[in-house]
This record gives sequence, C-alpha cells and structure tokens, in this order.
Amino acid sequence: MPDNSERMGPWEADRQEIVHKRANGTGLYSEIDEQLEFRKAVARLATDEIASVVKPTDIAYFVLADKLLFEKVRPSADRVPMLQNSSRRSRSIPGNLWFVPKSLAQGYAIDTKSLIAEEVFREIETLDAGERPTIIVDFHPKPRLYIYPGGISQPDISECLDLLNKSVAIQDIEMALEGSYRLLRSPDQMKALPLWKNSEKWYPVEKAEDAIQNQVIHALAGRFAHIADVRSEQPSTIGRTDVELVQERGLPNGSVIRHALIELKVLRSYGSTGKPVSDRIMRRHISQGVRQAAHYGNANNSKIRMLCCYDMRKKDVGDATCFEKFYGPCKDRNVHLKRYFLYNSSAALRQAFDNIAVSEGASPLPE
Amino acid sequence: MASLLLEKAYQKDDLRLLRQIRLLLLLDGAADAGLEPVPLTVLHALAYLSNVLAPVWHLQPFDGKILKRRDSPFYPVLQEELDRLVGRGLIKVSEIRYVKDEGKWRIDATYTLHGEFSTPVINAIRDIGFEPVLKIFCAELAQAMAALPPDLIATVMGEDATYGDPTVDVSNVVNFAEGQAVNYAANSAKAFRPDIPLTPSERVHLYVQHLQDRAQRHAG
Repeated sequence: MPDNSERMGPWEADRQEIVHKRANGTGLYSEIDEQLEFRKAVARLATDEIASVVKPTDIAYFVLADKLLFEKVRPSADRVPMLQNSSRRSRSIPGNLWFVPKSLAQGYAIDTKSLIAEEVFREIETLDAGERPTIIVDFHPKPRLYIYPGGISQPDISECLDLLNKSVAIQDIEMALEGSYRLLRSPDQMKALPLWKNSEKWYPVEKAEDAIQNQVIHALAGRFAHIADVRSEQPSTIGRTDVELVQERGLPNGSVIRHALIELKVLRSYGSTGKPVSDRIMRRHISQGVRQAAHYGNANNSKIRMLCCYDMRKKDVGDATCFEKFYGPCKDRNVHLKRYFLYNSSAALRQAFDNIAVSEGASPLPE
Repeated sequence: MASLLLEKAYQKDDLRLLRQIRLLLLLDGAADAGLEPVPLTVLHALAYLSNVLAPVWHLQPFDGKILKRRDSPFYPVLQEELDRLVGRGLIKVSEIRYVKDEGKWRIDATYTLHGEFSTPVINAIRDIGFEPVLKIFCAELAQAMAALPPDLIATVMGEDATYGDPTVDVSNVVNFAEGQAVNYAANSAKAFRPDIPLTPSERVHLYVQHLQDRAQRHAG
C-alpha cells in the first residue's frame, strides 16, 4: 500500500478528496492489453450516454487509432478534446465515426448522421482502418456494443455486449471463465503464453499462475467492461493471485460494490523442475486457497467468493473426487469452488471429448 | 547500427543521446494518443511530468530540478536536443512563430515525428529492450495529457503539486529529487485511493485529472 503520510505541498488541502477520488479505471488495463483499455473506455462512455437526460438514438462508431491512422484522418476529421467530459466536449457522441486513442481522452470525428452502416464501414476501409479494433455502439432500441477486435474486415470474430445486462452472478462469472478456459485447456491454444514447460512430462512453467491470471483478467474485464473493474494485486506480491470485480461506476461517490473475489490456484503433479508434488501438498494448496478466498472475501465484503483451481495434473480425477473433502468447509465459509482441467496435448483433449461421447452412448472406437 | 549506438550511449551514460531518446519516446506516445502535431509547451510539460512522476513508476527522474517560470515548464537543454533531432530529420517542425516569453522573444512551434527516419530509431529502442517501463510510462503520460485542452496547458501546470508550489518563486529552482527534496507531485499521485491497488497508469491518469479539476475550480 502506498505511503499516505508523505507530504503533498500545495495539494495537502486536497488530501481527503485525493484519498476518496473516484477511480474510473482509466489506465487499469494499459499494461495488459490496449484493446481491453479501449473496450472499457468505450463501455464507460456508452453507459454514461445511456444515463444522460437526452437519450441517444444514433449509432456511434469507434476505431482505435494509432499514429499512422491519426495522420490519415487529421485532414478530414474534426478534433474533439475532452471526449470523456460530457459537459465540455464540443460534439455529441452518437452520430459520429470516432478515431480515438485507447483512453478516449480525445477523438477525431466524422459526421455519420446521414450515412447507413455500410457507408460508414466503407469510410473506415477507405482509410485503411478495416483491421483496426472497432467498437460500434448501437443505442436504440437495446443498447449494445458490437466489438470487432480484428476490425470490421474480420466480422467473424466479433462479440456483442448487452449494456443493460448488469448481472454479476456466479453463473455470469462462470460463463466468462468458460471462455478463457477454452483457450487455456490445450497447449496449442496457449502458444503465446505457454503454461507448460514440458507438456509431455506434465511439467508446468514456473509462473503458471501468472499466465492463468492474465487470461482470467482478460475474460472478466471483457465480459464486465460496462459494469466493473477487474483488479488484482500488484506483480511484486508473488504468490497471491486473487482477482477482484469491483464497481464504483454508477454509484454515489464513495460507494463501492465488491462483486466478487476470485482466488486462483494451479494444481500440479510436478513442479517446473520435474520434482513430484504429492496429493497431500495439493490438498493443502486447495485449503490455503479456500482460506484466502474466505479471509479476503470477508475483509473486503465481497458478495461472491470463489476458488478456481486450474488442474494441470496427469489425471483428471473429476470434481467430486478432487473436492470431496472441501464441499462442506467451503459451504460453511461461503466459498464457491470451481475446477478447470488443463490437458497437456490437443490429442488428450480430443480423447476427453470422445470419452464424453462414449459415456453419452456413442460406440467406442477400436484401440 | 542504431541499436549499437543506443547500447553504447546507455553504457557511457551519454546524457545528450539519452535526452534525445526520451524526446522520441514522449513524441511517440503523443502520436499514439492523437496529440500530433505536439505544441512546444505540451512537449515540455510532458517532459516535466515524466521527471516529476517517475517515482510512481519506480523510475529515477532524468532531471530532478527545473527553473520555475511564469509559464509552463521549459527545459532549455531539452530544447537544444529537440532542435538537433529536427536538424537530423527525425522530427518535423511546423507552425513556427515568435512568441514573447518572460520579456524575451523565443521561437514557438509544433512537432511531429518524421516516420520514415524516426520509426527505425524507435524500433531499435524497443528491440534492445531500452528501459521498456519508460516507454510505457511516456505513452501513458501522453494518453493522460491528451484529455487536456492544449491551450490550457500553461494554466493547468500552474496547479501542479510541485511546479505550482507557491513557496517557490518564479526564477527560483524547483527541486524535487536532489538532496533532501520532497517530491509533492509523486507523493500526491501515490496518495490516491489507498484502499484499492491502483496501477501506476491509473495514478498518472488520476493525477492529470486532478490537475484539471484544480485548474477548473480556480478558474471558476
């Protein structure tokens, strides 16, 4: 925690204001992924628009620009400073095509009120921005974000976010985590951030928790961009991998809703050097995770406390066996348990799918 | 070739080249924040904030003191390196004009990276892994400053916790990093929301937002 007793000179008079300043999350994901930062900034701006007195009906298009794109749009677009400040910006958000930095601190706007979506898309492609991350905010009748991480030229990987859906229940969190699990479960899908040091021998990388935490933050931050911030401890405190879903937006100043606290644990058969890890040690590891989730959850008054175990062991023993001795204690401590088994090869993943098919009645394949 | 030069400069602590690198990183961040062409006052304000807020990113300030002026911060030594980069063709200069500054005349201008020549150098800075945190910090600072109206930079900087310290008169040195000096700005940035683990980026954004809030409050 930062030293709060240090002198602040002429800002000393503002100390109380500074200590309680609303953290709007700008810069929260900057070091993780600029697209997350961009998505969060657009979601925040869109929800502010929805809450405003004049209900927006036109569509707003946001293209994440870089220096080259800014250079191209500058001659034909109007610069609008203070984009996040509704009372001071010189132009309304809807009815415009915006070229913006990830923080949405300012933007270059092109009027689109008389254009249909197809024409706006053509305008984007004319500026060679078809592959730049783009988010479309359709305010009417149901406000939605249409997110194109690879730009409008790649509509097959687009996502839709319902801005009126403000639910942060266990099921919503699980749904978001399920999306990240699809990436984590096979080494082929995690080549950029490998979890296995030697997958054939089930040796995880030394800091597997960090890679998993990164994916979990991505999943939750993307899914809840319009509601809450995903916060985690600073990287210097290695060993604690708690993730929190915290909401300040849309609440009276000073109010905070801590929707969820999620503790992450990696279950291993071996350490990264190949040293075997016993079941007993893994049970202790799970116990420690439950304690942390309960303790931090109580301390922070978190509505949901979860322990997510990412199981990198040789054999998938199933939830019932893995958590047999934990269900009761977790119920007593109000901690929700979840396990995700990570396969050491895509062949093992395919085998697991086939085992499910057989258990559901498909005839087994010959050996 | 560029990589070798940079590595050499880093090892030999070549201040002139290191200042030029800092300028390129600040301009690169400003370009990605849509701030180009960057007015001279904004560039020097960015340089000042990259010094005074460096501890928030666990970095050392490059210049730990600055001469206080009536207007926003200005580094004559940095300006020399900026002019040198213009001469080398890495930075383009436009909107050149004379402005009266504290009773004297000086040249004012706006600056833009000259992509053809600056991109290989900026790529080399990245490729040799030169102070990667500094690059992120400069980029984030530019994102935060992009929220301010450029014509209000001078007013806003007058509200800075360090530069705007009323106990330091104009024409005196504002010292925030040398000897027993206290860095009010970095302390203020570190004081935001002790109840949640803010990232250094968030602290920089909150600091600049608060600068703006103070400027608006006092203007009102």
